[in-house]
Amino acid sequence: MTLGLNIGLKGIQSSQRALETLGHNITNANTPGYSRQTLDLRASRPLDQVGVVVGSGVDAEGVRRIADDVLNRRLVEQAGVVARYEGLTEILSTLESLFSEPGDSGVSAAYDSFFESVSALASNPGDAVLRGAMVDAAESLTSSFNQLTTGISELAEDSLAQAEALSSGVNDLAEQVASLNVEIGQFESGGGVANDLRDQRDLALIQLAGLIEIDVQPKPSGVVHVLVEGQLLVGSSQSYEVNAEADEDGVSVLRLEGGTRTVAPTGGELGGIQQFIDEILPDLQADLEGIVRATILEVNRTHSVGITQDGGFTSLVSASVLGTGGADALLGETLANLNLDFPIQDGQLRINVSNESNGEVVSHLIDIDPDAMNVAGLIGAISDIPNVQANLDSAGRLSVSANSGFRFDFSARMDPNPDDVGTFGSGKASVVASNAGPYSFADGDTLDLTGALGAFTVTLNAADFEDITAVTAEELAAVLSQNPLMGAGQISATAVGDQLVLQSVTDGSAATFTIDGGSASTVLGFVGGTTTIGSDTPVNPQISGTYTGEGNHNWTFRPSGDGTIGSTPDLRVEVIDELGQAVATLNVGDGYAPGTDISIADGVSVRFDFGQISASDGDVFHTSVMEDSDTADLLVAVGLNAFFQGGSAETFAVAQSILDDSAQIAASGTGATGDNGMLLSLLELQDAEIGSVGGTLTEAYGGVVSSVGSDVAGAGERLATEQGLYQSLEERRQAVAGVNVDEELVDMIRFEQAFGAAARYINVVQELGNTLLSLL
Amino acid sequence: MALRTTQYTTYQQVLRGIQNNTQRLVQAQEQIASGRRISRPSDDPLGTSKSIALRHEINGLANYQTSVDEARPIVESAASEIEQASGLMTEARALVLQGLTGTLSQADRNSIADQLEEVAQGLLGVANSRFGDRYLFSGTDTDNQPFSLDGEGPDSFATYSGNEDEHTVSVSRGVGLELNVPGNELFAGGGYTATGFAGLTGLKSGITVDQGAGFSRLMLRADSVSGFEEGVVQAAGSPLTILGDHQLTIDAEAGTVRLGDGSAVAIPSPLPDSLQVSNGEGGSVTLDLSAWTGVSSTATLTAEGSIATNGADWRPVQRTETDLELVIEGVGVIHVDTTELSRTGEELITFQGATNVFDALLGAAQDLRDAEVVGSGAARDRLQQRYSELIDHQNNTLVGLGRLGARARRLNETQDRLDELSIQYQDRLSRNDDADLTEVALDLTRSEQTLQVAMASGARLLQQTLLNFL
Repeated sequence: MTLGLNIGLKGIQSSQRALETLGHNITNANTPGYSRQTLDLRASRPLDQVGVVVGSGVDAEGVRRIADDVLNRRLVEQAGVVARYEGLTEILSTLESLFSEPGDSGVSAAYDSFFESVSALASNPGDAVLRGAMVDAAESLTSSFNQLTTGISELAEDSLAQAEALSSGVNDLAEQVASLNVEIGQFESGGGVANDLRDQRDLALIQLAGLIEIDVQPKPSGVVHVLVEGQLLVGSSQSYEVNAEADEDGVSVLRLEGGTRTVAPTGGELGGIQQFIDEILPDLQADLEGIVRATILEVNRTHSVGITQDGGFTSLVSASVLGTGGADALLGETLANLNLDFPIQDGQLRINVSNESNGEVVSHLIDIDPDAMNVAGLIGAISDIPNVQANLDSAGRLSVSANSGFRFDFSARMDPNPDDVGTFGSGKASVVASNAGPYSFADGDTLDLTGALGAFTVTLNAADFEDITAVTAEELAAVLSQNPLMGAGQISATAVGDQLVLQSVTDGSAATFTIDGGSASTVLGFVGGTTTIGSDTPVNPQISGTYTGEGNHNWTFRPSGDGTIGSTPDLRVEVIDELGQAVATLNVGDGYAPGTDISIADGVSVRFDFGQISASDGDVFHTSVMEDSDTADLLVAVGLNAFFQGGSAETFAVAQSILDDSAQIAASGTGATGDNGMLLSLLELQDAEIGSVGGTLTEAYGGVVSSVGSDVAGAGERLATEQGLYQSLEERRQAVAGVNVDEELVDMIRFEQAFGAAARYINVVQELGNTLLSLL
Repeated sequence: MALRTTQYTTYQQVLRGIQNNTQRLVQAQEQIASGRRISRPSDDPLGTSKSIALRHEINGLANYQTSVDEARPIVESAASEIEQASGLMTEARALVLQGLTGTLSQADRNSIADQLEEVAQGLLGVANSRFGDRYLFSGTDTDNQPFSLDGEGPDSFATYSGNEDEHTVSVSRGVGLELNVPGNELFAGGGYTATGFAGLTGLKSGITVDQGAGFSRLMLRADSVSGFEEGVVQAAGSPLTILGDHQLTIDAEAGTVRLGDGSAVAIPSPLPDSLQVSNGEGGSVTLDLSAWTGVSSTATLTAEGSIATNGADWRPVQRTETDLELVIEGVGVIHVDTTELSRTGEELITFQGATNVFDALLGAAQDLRDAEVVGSGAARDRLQQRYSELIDHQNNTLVGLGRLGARARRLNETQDRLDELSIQYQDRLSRNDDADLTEVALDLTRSEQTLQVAMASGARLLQQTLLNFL
């Protein structure tokens, strides 16, 4: 009887427990992280009733949480991956909006309008309004680059600030996990299972993984340890703080409390930020930097050898201060110490000096070896050029100026009148030594000449030379020119290349002298008894055109024989380059109309006037043709005649001198107002492949934008995929642990009925008792 | 085994369905509203870089189009100026031809000279014409007036102070087009590649090349004539304009006398002591026939003469010289061949070198004014020289005109091609950047429908619960 009542009671109690559990389930159906619970029922231990084994009802074993811990761990992992791409996508979306591409307000549009303004000015190079427009367009190019890079830097700073905020979120969650660890440990040490606390901890872990990549290690006592890159973040009862601090480079890094290493998370939102800062940002900034530097370098290379419309410069001051290391400091070192934006190379710089009164242009080449030339050497080399001075101004900047009546420029323009000395059929009687210097004389060597006043002998003294066995043509010319006998004889000496030239002082057919012989004339290669006569009709070679060939060359022109331009049959002029390679052979004899252009090569032409040229007098002239008149990149390096200044995307700007006065745009290639040679070269730049950026400027920039777009699109797609995976994991978790209200309702009916049945059973047992009692 | 579903899963699914479809709807809406397929690089990274490249191309084409637009009026106005110049030269040629007419009085010549000077001034105006503030014909030295007249009156001469460069503009990638023809080629491109002789006296160029520039003259005179036969002699003190050997034919039967290929002159009666006979080249000798024997004869007259470069320093000239060197003070050295010398007079020499049209016109005007002084024959020779120069210059301007015409045509062709390319690129850009509205509209409708279906089915799904039946 008692047993029956007891069975009924256990039945009622277990149904009640079951109903409570499903009530807990139903009410927690929408609680995040909740795992449904179920009451485990078991038939009570049977009683042996005198040989009959009788069941003793039901026992509620306990409430069990239905959860798949493996699945939960995978959810934690996946939450980290999703959060990482969420974080990355968010930053990259902001990043791509900074570019304003494709459209008419981004950098690519600014490039296009810059080149558009160059093209417009090229149509009318003298127009002041168009020049101003070019400066404006250049400014908008520089400022759009500045804005873009400033925006990117700000985004990076914001991301770092966000990382700091997130790290405090990590600390909160870590603390929460630690305290849940303690509670669960205490609870479960009593033998129970802390169902709801575990759910809470799982949820906290998922949230934590959303911030930083974690490794969760379950321990037997029910606690979990959380590791970040192998360092303990949460222990059994304690959490360790993650702090953002500055490293030695001033870059913000994460470090765990007590940890030896910095933490560079690859997962979680912090991982996304880290990926942006560590991987995407440096490449992007380097690419943009490369494009800006290529723009500055190439535009300045082109511009610095251009000429302003007024025909050249009267004075220029460098943007860089060269005087810091003292005048004796080597150029290369000085410039390296200055952290100049662009390096100086071993090469040459050409300086042309034009005479304003007669338009005559004289070109000079300066050899620049940054590791051998010092600042004073550079200044000296420039100042050695007639009518040009260089010095350091009070601020230590390199200042170059021309004498009054002269102008200078650095262009590759050809010298229109290459025979300045007059050794190629000029009006002067002239003989060029057939041997080239340096000459090896002996003390007392003689040169016998017959000049205007009759025969005389020049004696060479060893004392006049640095080394009489190695006398350069220039040195010899200087010594000979000072000899009074030469002056009286109306004969001058000069040097063409490394050959000595003897010339009559006067022009015309009356000018004549004879080389009679002497020991020195043998050394020089003069033939004794050579008489030379000047001419009333100088040949006056004139060079025209624009050199389109490659590299810088020095062409030497020599006649093939003696004869008259335009008349002597088979008279030719041979043109060879500095290596002795033939460039062209020009027919200037019978059949050539004097004064007409003959094409030599690579866009360069020459014309000869009527007159006599003579191979036996050693007639010769040289002219240099240049692709680049500043192979040393000195102008770009020190900022002389620059268009842009700066060396990075932040400092990229139009040169101050151009901003101050748009007439400083060196549009001309020849110095003529209507010439647009520099602008045409500049226009070529827009389609030029530039090695350092691997394409044209716009292509390179388009590539950067495209790669940012790919990054965004890639991160977005990855996010969608990872989210899908998370979703399916979540669905599987739901399938295992989620509450289905309908299911619970069915159970509710089931246990309601069970409860009713048990109660009814007690009723029956009671009635049975009553029946028995009524018998009494 | 089918997965267990829960309310949460159902809600999530419905929610996701609605969200996805709404997102698609918003995207389609964005594309329709902006008309663009790519609003940000991530919409289509490759498309974005293509878009940048295409925009760059289109901008480049627009630059070239602007250059062409700017170039065209310059080329056209230069062409029209040259046309005008050519017209002025035609006018000048007519005037010079008029001046060559023998029957003009000096007053008439002066009036023609005035007109020529006016034409020269007009031509100078054309040569110095500008487009905007740039000179059209000064090469790239567009700030400087290309031609100016220096010197006074008869000594004035024109100089070119422009350069010989051509102003190039880019009209398509790597293709430049020259806008201008330098003025020196148009107006100062005439010239002689060798020394020219007017051909009056039969002097020819010698072997050695001459030195000098511009014009000069050589004067030839006859000093004596010999070889007469049959009592005929030269009339004393009479002018003699033949040089070298000439045949004098006296036909007693016909009663005529003839010099070389000249027309026969009837011998009047009584026998004259002064009868001028001329040959076809205008060389003449005056005969004294008073002692003529009356017999027919064919005599070879040989006239010896002298040559001078300045009308003062005469030197006898041998007719055997093939390379006689003469120094013309202040001008140069000339070498002449005297073997075909046939008459006296002033030989006009043009040295090799450039000449310009202004000098030719002003020179012609001066020649006309000087006609009385230098003798009409010499003036005529000079004028003829100027006339041929004028023709050269006009040819130069016509060549220049042809070049500009060809450029104008190239500009037109380039413009057509640029327009076509620009349309093509615009089309490609539009296909790359722009949303295909039909497609997007379809997308929009489809997303809308899907969304509605998702909402309807979700609403019904969510309502399904056992609770409704309890």
